[in-house]
Amino acid sequence: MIGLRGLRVHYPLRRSLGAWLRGEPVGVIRAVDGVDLDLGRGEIVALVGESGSGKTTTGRALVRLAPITDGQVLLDGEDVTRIGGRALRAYRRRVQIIFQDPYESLDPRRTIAQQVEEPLLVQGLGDAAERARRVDRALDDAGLRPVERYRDRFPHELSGGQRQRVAIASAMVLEPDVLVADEPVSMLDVSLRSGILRVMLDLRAHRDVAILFITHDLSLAWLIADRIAVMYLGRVMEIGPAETLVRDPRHPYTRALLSVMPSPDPAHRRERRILRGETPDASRVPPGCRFHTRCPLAFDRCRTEEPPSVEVTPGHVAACFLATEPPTDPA
Amino acid sequence: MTSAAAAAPSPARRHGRRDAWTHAWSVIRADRQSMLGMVILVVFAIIAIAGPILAGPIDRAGANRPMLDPSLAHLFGTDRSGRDLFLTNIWATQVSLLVGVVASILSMVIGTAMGIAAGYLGGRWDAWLMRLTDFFYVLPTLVLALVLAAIMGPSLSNVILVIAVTSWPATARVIRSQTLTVRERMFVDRARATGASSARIMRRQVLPNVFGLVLANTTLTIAGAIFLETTLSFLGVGPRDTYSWGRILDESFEAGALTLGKWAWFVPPGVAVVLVVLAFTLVGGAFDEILDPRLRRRGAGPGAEPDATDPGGPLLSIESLSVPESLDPERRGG
Repeated sequence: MIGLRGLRVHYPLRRSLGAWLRGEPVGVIRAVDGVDLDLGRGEIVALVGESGSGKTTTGRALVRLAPITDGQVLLDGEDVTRIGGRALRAYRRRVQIIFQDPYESLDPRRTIAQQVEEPLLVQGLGDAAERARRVDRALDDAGLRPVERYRDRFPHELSGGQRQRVAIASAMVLEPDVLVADEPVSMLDVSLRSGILRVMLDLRAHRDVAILFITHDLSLAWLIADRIAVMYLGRVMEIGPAETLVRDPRHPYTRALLSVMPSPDPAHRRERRILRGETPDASRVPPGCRFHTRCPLAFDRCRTEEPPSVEVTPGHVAACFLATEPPTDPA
Repeated sequence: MTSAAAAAPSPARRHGRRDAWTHAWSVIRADRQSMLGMVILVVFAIIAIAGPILAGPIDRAGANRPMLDPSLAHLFGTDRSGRDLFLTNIWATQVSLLVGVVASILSMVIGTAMGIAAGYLGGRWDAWLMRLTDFFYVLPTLVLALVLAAIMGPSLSNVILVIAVTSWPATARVIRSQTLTVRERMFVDRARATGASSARIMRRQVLPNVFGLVLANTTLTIAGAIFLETTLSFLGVGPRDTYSWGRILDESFEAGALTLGKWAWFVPPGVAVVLVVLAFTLVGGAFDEILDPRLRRRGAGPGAEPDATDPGGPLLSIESLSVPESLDPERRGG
């Protein structure tokens, strides 16, 4: 239903005066560097990656908050990459986002009901009674019950989990088809996470909303998503059905992530593969395979040639020369 | 109004606006300086509103008895034309405060609009609006005011306009910098993601969040405006059909009140200017605290999580817990 085609978001770096005088080219941060992704109706796709992998920027580009350098955003096959004004407003009615930090994403000076009603006012939907009805329903769907207890409160009177529910309600009040959830639970206590996740699963079940779930936590992605996409340095390294990707990872980066995933069963602890080094700077993406500087399996070809995306099984794609080879342990 | 709100019971807590008044009042009451400023302002406000009504027109008092010294009949004496200076001062209070408040509000409107637009829109808008602001900022205020007043003629509304035009740049700069920080907050992104236009975000998200600063700034601008009006009138470019503190000072100076020892002519308006300017400055300081949302209503804590699962029995229970006062962070005013 909604898709990204070769999406690129590059931010130009500011040159120092010295660099300018020496005539050095303007550097760019390649936050997102060619991402293809599709979300079907009612599907939950998790976008997993370390910080700096470009997953948040991808989500922001999807809701047209980040400036898109190249590539396309398609909604129902229609190119919405360059739309503005009225068309963009209509688009935003269908594609909503909730942010990571529930303490920052609510206006401290408006009541909960006002915040949730605001998108309806912006979009010019319904009369006062209709809006009130929809606000109540959105709050109820987000698990803020009884609604009367929350309507007239201010954000600072609520806990983090409640605030995130308000953020969900104000996104869902427009009844969008697509919801981008940018690390919606990472700032919350672990005990509150399941509640928020359940709300999102309910929304998918009852409203058929497609969710792009952005997280750095692979186990969380496995728990909630139908499909998982693993991002590294602005690119999708591996994508596939959640179950397949976790059981049979084909990209060394995915394997490394999986190996450090905590397992509740001590008997099944895998050998941990701790990656050496840090994610390279997004302004200096390595040539060839962008993962080769940290890859335990890297060989000469990886340093010069970008590996193609290989479809291992239907729907399971990995960008690695060794994707179809049986997994081997590094020496 | 404030004392009624302060006495309101706790159900009023749910209603933000009344609560804000209660809070504002409690902050002012707690701070001796702003309380003093508030008292001075209330006294002057009463004089300005009720004084002229009670005292009647100026000329009624002492026809053809010029340059009298203070007496019971004429508390501040009379001027060269035999006007009662006490009455003149009362009327002047009304005019001076009116000029100060109206000019400041005008100046705040211009400054806030410029500041928010420059700060939120950024880029080329920011550059052009701020160059314009800088242009007005570096102009010598008094000279510009003199020139404008001379060109446009000495009427009350012109003086107000002159003051407004020359005093907005400072406000614009302050509001712009605050807007820059508000713009980066997530709820602005959220508003943008719902499809809100820039104009709407500036009005609904940015303005309310810089409004505290606007108010705090207004009190300071009023002080400056009253001072400027006094100066302009003293220099003879103020309105000639009404009396203000500045005009009284101007006339006393022309008549040589200082050398004649007619202290009651020039001391009262001088003291009045100093007192009002001081009072606005004192109150303005308290606005910083009043409008910081983090300092508001510390008592109301978060309610229970809606999904909290009941584990059946207590996992942890605390009974008769007490904290020594010296260790209690709440009481240490942290």
